Amino acid sequence: MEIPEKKIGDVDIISLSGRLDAYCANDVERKLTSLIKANQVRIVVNLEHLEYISSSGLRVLLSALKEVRKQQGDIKLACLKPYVKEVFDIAGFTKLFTILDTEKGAVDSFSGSIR
Amino acid sequence: MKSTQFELKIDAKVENLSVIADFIATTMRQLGVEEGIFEVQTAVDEACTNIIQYAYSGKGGTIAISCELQNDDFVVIIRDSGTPFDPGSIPPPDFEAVLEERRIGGLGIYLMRKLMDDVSYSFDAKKGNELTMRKRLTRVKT
Repeated sequence: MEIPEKKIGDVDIISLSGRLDAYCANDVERKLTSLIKANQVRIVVNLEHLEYISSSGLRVLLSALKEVRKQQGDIKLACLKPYVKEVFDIAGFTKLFTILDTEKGAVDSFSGSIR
Repeated sequence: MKSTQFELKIDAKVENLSVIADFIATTMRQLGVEEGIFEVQTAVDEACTNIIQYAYSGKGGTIAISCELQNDDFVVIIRDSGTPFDPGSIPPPDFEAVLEERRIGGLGIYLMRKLMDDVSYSFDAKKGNELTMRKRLTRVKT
């Protein structure tokens, strides 16, 4: 999966698209691990163009969330499509992640939080 | 009258998961089913991911998927000849656990059970593993 990346202030934004299944989960894991290793732990994941997520994708996001929270960071999710949101709901992940309607909202929600 | 059966035999590789998803969507539409496509795709994806990663341990093999309508049910049967694996033996995730304690495993099987109306597993020394999943339909176009 191509994973575009940008930065606004000290928040890193990555955008996922297509299918996040067991095939693509490694690409996303690699991207998130490289950010965390570089101590970039304020991350927004934009899911506007993500059509599908399976438990393999959920797993990658959950391990990364555990890692960034240990370092006082966070992963915030933005723009979930209805079916992707449904899978998050069923898996009980909406309780674990902060989910915002817009990318800007997700970026802004970092301001004021202490790193 | 026996309903039409659709079959797909495919190499057990993660890069084929999108082919399997397309097969499910195409089959359901050909049978006139427009509802629940995402749900069935997800359940089948989870089942096939388990087969690829655990039953065949990533070493490859064949997955055979057959789909048909049985009365008001869309039925998917998935067969493989990997290590026997009963999804019923996996406990569900603990939803009350705090983040640090939330286990990573068991989620795929939990999703399969939540998204389908019935999931059953059988093993036969000759035939191998057989997983049958049913999705009850509220309306079927004829």
